[in-house]
Amino acid sequence: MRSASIAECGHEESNAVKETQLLDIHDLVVHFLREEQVVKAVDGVDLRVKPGESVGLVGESGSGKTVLSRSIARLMANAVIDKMSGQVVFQNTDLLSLSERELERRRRKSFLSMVFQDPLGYLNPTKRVGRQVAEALPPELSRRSRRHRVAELFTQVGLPGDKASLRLYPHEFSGGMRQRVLIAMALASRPRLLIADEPTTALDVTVQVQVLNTLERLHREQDMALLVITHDLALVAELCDRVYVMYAGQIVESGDVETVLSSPHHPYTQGLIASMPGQRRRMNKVDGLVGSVPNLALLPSGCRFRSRCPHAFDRCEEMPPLMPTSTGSTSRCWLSEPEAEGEDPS
Amino acid sequence: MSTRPDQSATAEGVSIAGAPPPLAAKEVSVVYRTRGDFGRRTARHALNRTSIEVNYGELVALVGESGSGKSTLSKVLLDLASPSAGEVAYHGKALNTLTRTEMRAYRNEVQVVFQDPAASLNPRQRIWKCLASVLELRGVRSQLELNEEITKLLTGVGLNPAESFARRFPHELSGGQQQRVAIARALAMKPRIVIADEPLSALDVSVQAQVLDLMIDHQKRTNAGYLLVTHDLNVVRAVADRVVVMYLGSVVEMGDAEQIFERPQHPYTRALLSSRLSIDASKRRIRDRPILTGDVPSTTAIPSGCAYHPRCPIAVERCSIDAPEPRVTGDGSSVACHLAE
Repeated sequence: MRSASIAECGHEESNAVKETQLLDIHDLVVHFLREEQVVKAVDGVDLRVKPGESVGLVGESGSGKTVLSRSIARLMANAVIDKMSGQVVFQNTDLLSLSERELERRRRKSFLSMVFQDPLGYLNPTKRVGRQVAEALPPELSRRSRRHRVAELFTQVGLPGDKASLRLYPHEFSGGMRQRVLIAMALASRPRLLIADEPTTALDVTVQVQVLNTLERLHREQDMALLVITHDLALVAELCDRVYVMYAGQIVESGDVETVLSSPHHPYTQGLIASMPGQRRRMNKVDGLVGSVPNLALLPSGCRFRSRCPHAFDRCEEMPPLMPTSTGSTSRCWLSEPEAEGEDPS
Repeated sequence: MSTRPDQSATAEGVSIAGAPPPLAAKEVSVVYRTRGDFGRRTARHALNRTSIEVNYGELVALVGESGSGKSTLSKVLLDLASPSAGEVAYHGKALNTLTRTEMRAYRNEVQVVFQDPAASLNPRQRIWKCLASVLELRGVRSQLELNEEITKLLTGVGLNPAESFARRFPHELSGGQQQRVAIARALAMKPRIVIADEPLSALDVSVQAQVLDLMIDHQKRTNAGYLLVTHDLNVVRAVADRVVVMYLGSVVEMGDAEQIFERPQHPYTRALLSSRLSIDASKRRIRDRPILTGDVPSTTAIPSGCAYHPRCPIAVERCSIDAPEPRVTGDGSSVACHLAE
């Protein structure tokens, strides 16, 4: 599919770049107000997802990753937004430029779906699960094909598709099964992109593997692109092809998962990897990052990681741009410039 | 420590080293009677004849999924929940037979760090007051001494400048800083046993490593015994000396950390270990991971025989009838499975 679309628009270089992206976020800025302070949750983010690709967005709490994911689907409440600019181009339409009405119309037959962390919070406790999944189906379907499709969706996500199961209520399901119900709802519109925000954080480890396995299978079998938002680098390592690392509202590093994890360029990524215990065998001191994510309303000037960075030097007072590195990834750090590498700032 | 119970008093608690372990649970069961849907009476079997011991100088990791009883077990060891059967022994003497002085020694010596630091700190108390009230229990009275000790404690857990942190209220601190205060409060009693119930799970990845570091440092420096309750197997791999694996209120396997990770005997331990995600992408991708089917059953309806048999890939007929007793295997670990070698 990817190769086909490249062939179609190969005659024009710039066009080809545009067309091969399923989701193309360009210079997205989302600032909102909290207690009369401007919170720069998303501050100039570029992010791309190709058709059928699996992309991870990693960040700690307060990095702005959830605001970013919600902004893609325009789920941020307008009332709190102080500033929102940039483009979120999905299948060649800028979602940010759509009117509320147009947005609503498109959501009904959306090729973009989302799955959230806490499944119980997104299910109606008084409605049978089968019915809730059916609500996500296109309204023009007949009753019979509707029932048939719900059963099909249930089987796809690894739930029993029999009549009795469809008639159960959310509370009769375990956490893992509820998350599957949510995934079934997300799949109802046959999305080309599934955004999963911490899809397995609330689940037990053995159930986490089951749900991730299901997501991976659906991604592969249906050629559905995945954007997985998580704090867990290991989850990204196992599930994704590419990764974006977010820190204090900005992307600080991106690239192939293997490249970024094996040779991280940004000191934050390096610290994040070093913070993961047990990846290297038994150690006496767990080394990693000092301090914590800065308040998004009171950001320091220059590089936002500066105060926690073990390599910070004079130049860091100036904000570094995202720049290509020697390994093909990009990094927002002055020390990641190919010519600067190996240089000792002190 | 003369306040400890006479160590020769109980014969059955004597370990190989001669003295009974400082803290042990023996065949402890906890049953909660609750009302389920529409007021039906149900019994929740949180713990089922569970035994565990914590010795000085070792870090024991208690692992298992939700509903496995790991939090209940730590509460029982802290005397915050009372067992329906079995007993908790402090230096070989059951908690309910301790004299007042002995009970005080137990309360001082065994300290706890909870999962949610915000909920475990008094929101209306400045950090100074929070620590001072604990230090007063230890007999520190004068303002001067208190200030000195509090500065030492806060600096010890990395909260600098200590004077500034001491003046603040819990809500003025980040989650990681709150957890550091909670640890400082536990350490204020100079504990020899620390029970930490999921101390990292409310924290960010980068802060988790810092807090873990702090506890390991204390454990090594003071030779204290630690019981770390966690679901994070990567943490366990990094720091534990001994591992206890629980499933639905029972210990299914326990032993040396190295052995558990390298040669797990119980099929549940194997499944749990294989669900550990790794950043080493060359190792394995999610699609190749073996999947353990099903969910952890409810503690109100524990399966007959071996509680794990409905999910077990190698279960035989016997497993649904007989509950396996823990057996000591060749390498010294203990496993509750009919089929383990």
